[in-house]
Amino acid sequence: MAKKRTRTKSASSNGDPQTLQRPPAEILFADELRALAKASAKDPKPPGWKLSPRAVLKFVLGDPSEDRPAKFVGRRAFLERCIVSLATNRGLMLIGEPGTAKSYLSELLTAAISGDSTLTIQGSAGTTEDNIRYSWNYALLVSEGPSENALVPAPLYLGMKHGKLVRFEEITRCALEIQDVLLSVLSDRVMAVAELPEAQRSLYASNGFNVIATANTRDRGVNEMSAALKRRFNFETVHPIADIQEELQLVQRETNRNLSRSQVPVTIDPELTELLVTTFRELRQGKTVDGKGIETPSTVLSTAEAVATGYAAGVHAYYYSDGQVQPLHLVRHLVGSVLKDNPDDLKTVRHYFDHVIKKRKTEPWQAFYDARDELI
Amino acid sequence: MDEHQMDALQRRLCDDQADVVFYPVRHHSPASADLLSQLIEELKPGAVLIEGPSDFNDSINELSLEHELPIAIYSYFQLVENQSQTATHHGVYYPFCEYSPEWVAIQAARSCGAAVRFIDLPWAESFEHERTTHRYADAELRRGRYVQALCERLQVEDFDDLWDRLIESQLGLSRRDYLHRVHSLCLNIRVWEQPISLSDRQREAFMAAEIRASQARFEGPLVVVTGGFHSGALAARLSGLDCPGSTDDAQENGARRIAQRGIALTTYSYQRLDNLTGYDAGMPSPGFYEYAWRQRRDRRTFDHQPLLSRLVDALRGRKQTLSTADLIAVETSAQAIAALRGRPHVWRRDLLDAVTSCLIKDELEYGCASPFIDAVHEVLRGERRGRLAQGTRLPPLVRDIQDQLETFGLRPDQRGRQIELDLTDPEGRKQSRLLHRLRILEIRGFSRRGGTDFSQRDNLDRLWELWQLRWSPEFEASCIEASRYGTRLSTAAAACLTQQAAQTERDATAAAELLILAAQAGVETLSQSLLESLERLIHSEPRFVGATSCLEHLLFLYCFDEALGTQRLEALRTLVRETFSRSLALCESHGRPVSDPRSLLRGMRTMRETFRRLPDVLDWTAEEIGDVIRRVQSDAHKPPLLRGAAAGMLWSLGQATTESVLEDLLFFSDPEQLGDFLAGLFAVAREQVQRQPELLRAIDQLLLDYAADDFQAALPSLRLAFTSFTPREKHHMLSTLFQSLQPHLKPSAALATADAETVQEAVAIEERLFEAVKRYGLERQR
Repeated sequence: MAKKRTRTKSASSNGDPQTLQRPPAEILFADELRALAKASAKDPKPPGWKLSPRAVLKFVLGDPSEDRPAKFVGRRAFLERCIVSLATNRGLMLIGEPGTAKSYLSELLTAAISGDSTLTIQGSAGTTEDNIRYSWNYALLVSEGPSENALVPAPLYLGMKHGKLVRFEEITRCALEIQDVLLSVLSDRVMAVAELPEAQRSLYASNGFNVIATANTRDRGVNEMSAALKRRFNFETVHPIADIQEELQLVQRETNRNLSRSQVPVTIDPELTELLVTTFRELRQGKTVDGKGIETPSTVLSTAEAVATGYAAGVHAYYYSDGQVQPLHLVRHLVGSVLKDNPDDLKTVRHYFDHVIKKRKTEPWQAFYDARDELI
Repeated sequence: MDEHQMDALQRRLCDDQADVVFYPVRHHSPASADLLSQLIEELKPGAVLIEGPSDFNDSINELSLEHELPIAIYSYFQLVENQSQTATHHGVYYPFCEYSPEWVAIQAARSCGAAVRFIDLPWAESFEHERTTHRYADAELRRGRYVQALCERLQVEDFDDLWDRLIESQLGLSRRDYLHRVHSLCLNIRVWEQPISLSDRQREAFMAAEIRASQARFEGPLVVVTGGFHSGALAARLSGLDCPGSTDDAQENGARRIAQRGIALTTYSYQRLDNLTGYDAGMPSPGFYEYAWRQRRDRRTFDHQPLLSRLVDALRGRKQTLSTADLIAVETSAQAIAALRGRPHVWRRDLLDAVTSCLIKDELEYGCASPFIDAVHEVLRGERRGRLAQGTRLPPLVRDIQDQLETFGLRPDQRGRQIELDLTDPEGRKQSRLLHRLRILEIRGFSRRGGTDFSQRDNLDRLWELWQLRWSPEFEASCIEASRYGTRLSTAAAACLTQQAAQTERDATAAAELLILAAQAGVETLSQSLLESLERLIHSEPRFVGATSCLEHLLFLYCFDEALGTQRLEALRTLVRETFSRSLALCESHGRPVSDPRSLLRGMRTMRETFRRLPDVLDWTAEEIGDVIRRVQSDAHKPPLLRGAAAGMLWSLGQATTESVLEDLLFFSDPEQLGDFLAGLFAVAREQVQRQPELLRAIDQLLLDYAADDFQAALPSLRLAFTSFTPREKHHMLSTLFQSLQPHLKPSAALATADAETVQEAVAIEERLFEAVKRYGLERQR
């Protein structure tokens, strides 16, 4: 039954992946997943998993021998821990600064392990139990009374029933009592549907079910998790990309892809990408490339922010100047990325310009420094 | 080198029945050690030749005393530049622990009656091209593309994991496989990482010559125990095969000579072994590998559970909640991770990862230490400390201390005595430095009873110190204890200070105090690593007042010091520069009120003073400082005191005109703020204020415009503002003011002497009078 459903879904989902604005991982990488499943068919795998743990690792980290690049940049040991957590009876909690690709990683993992990354609960202040467990089709409920037919399953229900991974995004944005819905599900692996007749009252999780939650370290203070729920998760911190070369490539690639997607025929120079990435890294780590300590602003300077800044600078250059991205454009849009709510951050960045960038006498750093008056 | 040649060399290397058996080790690897002792027992060689300092061969019997490991051979010397006659000290360790292959080889050789010889080039002769301070490091193996490619292929993280995967966690690995794997790994690294460094080639040439000499000298087969990286080259040199870097080129002998050379045993600790990083890094977690070694020796299968329970004890000892359920989770995860990595049992990294995964419920900040992980590392590190057997020669530091005490006539005796040192006298300074170094290392029997206080600097008229010297029974023990910091007094003191700096957090004032301590112990103790940790402390200082008080100390040491020898010291320039920049940054971000507002002014004055005295050291121009200070001055959220000081700073740096200062004054005409603003202004721009009568006139005008209540409100803070001037300055200012207001009046007449209370009373009477006049409608119509 479960198999049937997935097959019909991926076949019928509005046709050609080309027309989708953003196809989910299992469609985008369908061929690769199929190949990996075939190759690892004989390897032992946890019950309910589509791929063996090693194949999942290969899917995420790429495979140089088959010329597949990494989809996510991170340490191997970290990913091994994540995958093992999912195979045990604890959920996986990915925490980290905004923009460190937590959600993307959870999408990749669910696509590889369950072949379906769409069982997603988006946590927010307005999330209710209905969004997590199930709700009712009231017309049917009134005419037929409570029955499985009248029940509208939510992601958690579906995941338990069909033995799939469920993603819970931004779990700490939800109120505590809503988060705690997961408590019994994670420990006893059963969901009670009190309204249904005796025989159908308990939904036991099929093999392969587990939860990947993501939480943002900046928001965690809003709704601290209960100790009981913490205990049922293994926590893993997703770090910003450690290697500058890898980050450079990623920013370069993503910025240019965004630009071409929005039909702006501008590319950003590798030299400027280096400048942008170096600036972001230095401010993020509180340390210059030659090892001097500097102040860090309170806003998050993630790789995603760097891409957004480069992208905005490109669009700006195309529409308002001669189509050549200049350091000046980067400075202008840097303000937007850095200055979110804390006015002191601007001082920090200004000091960074006065103190660090000033000393770099080569281009494009000089031009970057000369544009410092844009920091208003 | 083609494939054919490589095969030939590899075959020669793996031959364990030849006359000369080349046994490759990774230093501190239990697997290497175990298989090596088996080899020696089976082969019963004539001699075992070990990669170790050949200048220790004469004392090699010292190693057979009843030492408690870990210990190290320490080789040191003094290098004199022929031209300038300046001497520098250098030293290197060869550490041994219970499971070191070198150590095990010595034991095995002794029990089967084989001779033991060290065959490596003495360090003093090869050191010129090296950066390590630890001779059994893995630098050659860690670096490079081959290892990187292999890690990627085998899907492991780094060289440590690679080694564990290939060798260490393969408990059933046979000697044949071991030789094959390690030789081929090292040979490939060598081929990929050409050219081979000069020092490696020199050492290999020396070792090859030693092996040849031993072939002639000893009967029976030889076992050559060296780092795997060298085995290939040695075999190639001896059997005429080809290997990268097996040729020599002409040696040049530089313009330096080596004076005072020595080699001796000293104590070592697991902590030191584990803390080494970079070029000095070797195998991590000695405690873990010692455990693995013991299990191996007892021919048991590896069982990680005792380690896990030790870990649990350590964590519970630190008051961490750790339930049984948590333990089950750790155990399951560890097993699962080991399985995912294709290992039959849980190994070091699996244990670490399982703990990280299951027990840490918080964000792990990148590059930051987590107390939890630290505890785990501590258990895996072990806390073993070495102890030298009775009858060993004393460690070099102890002799250094004794020699120096003798030279300066400061040897303590049982009766005790007090000595007074004059710091302006060069001899007194030398003695003081020696005593300060002993004090830093906590050598018993020396205490400072009085003298000039260089951190308060309230009385620098007389530079002196009073010390109490008395022999204590713990004197010698504390000297040996201090040996762990180094072998010479100056370097040991520097290392001790560096460690103290590393244990302090975010405190520039503490950095300055350490700096003064180091200066008192002599500028030689200002090592590069100490300066770096001080810089780190200064960088992380969050308070403006803290940073500027550090700057004040630095300014003193760099500009005014006469006794410590730090005046215009090159090494301090960076610190001065960095502290100034940090102060400037903190000045701009300063927001919180401080308990003592005067310290803010002091900070601003120090900054101005630093710029005035040392413009060549700072990398800021007056304009750039002006830009920052102007932002401070115009920031409405800053306290008026700081804004006044900022205005004063701009004025005194020539970055603001008198007119603009007068304009600023108007901003602060509110009686609540005027006094504070002026206090700031006066404190920093003291001279400008006296030279510009316009300012006084403007203040006078402001005060005249105040209603009486306002004046009363402003009075206390105004009075405080003017206290920063001396009576003479006040007199001068007032007389110029009078002169400009009423030139016909004689100043002395105007300045009738009256105390503040009388004046206040007069003002009050006047006030009442005018009010009465007003009430009766008698005021003059305008």
